[in-house]
Amino acid sequence: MVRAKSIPAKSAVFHGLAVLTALTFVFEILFVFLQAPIEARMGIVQKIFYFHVPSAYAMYIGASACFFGSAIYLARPTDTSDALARAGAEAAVVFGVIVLTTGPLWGAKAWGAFWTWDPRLTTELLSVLIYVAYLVLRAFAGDGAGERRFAAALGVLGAANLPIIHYSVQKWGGQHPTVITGRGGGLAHPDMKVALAMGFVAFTLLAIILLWSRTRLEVVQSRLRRAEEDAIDLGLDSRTEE
Amino acid sequence: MSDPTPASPSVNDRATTFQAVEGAQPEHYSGEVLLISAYAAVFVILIAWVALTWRKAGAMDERLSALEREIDKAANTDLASKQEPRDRDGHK
Repeated sequence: MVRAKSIPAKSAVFHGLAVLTALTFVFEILFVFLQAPIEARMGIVQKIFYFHVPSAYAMYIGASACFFGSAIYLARPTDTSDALARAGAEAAVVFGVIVLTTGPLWGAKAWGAFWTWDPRLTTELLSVLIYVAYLVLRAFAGDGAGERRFAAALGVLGAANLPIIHYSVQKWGGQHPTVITGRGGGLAHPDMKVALAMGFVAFTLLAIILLWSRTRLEVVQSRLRRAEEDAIDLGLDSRTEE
Repeated sequence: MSDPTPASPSVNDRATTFQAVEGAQPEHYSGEVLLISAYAAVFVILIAWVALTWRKAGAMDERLSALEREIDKAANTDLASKQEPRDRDGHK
């Protein structure tokens, strides 16, 4: 095992990003509710779109982080790459759950049903379940080198579903809208485009700061666990003298 | 003697026609309620994740403090053993 170099501590950059993220979210909410027009056919419920789509995009960011962390860990095992993979899987689950919560609420109005086994919905659910399996594995299977390698393999294989989610709506049809893809008609009003763009910026910044803080926490936890094991080996830890 | 009637509905009992609603079609779900629910869900999920991360960091802080106490205790014991008086031959 190659020990990790410490990743950058929370710095002025981190705090600056956190403030910028908060300001972007405030602007996004105000813009969506006060400025963006109501959609002609679906009505006000279409405004879920401005958080639903950026959440799906943030899930891709988390899943990509899990993929790259896992691939790097398989090539050269470090605490940092393992921590990045774990943080990425957590982010993928959190943003995926947001997608799977907001989507059905929108669908209830647009389709008259909270859920259909549409190709995109089904592949999205499958992807979230893969990352839930990753986290369950990490939580209950121990933290040895073998378990980490097994989880890394899952992290790499789990990413295979991401392009399937993206292209499922084009290849297999279904009910899911394709407004912002190449085949879609796009957003008709300029304020709709601004609201969506700000949503992407807000969720990208949020994904970055959450991945940063969670990765750092996981690295510190690994180092702490190793220090505790060293302390027990040296007979320093009285908690073992029972 | 009356005709026997089946206890459970048969295939012939199923609906064979659909009738149109008279007047305006009633709305099943309120768009406003769904929109507010969706935005509330987003923030509840995000805040829950941040809170769990915060709690994890707090637990790590406690473990680190415990480890530091053990190290301090061991260092003090080591220091005390070195400061014990020795006789002329250097034995404790």
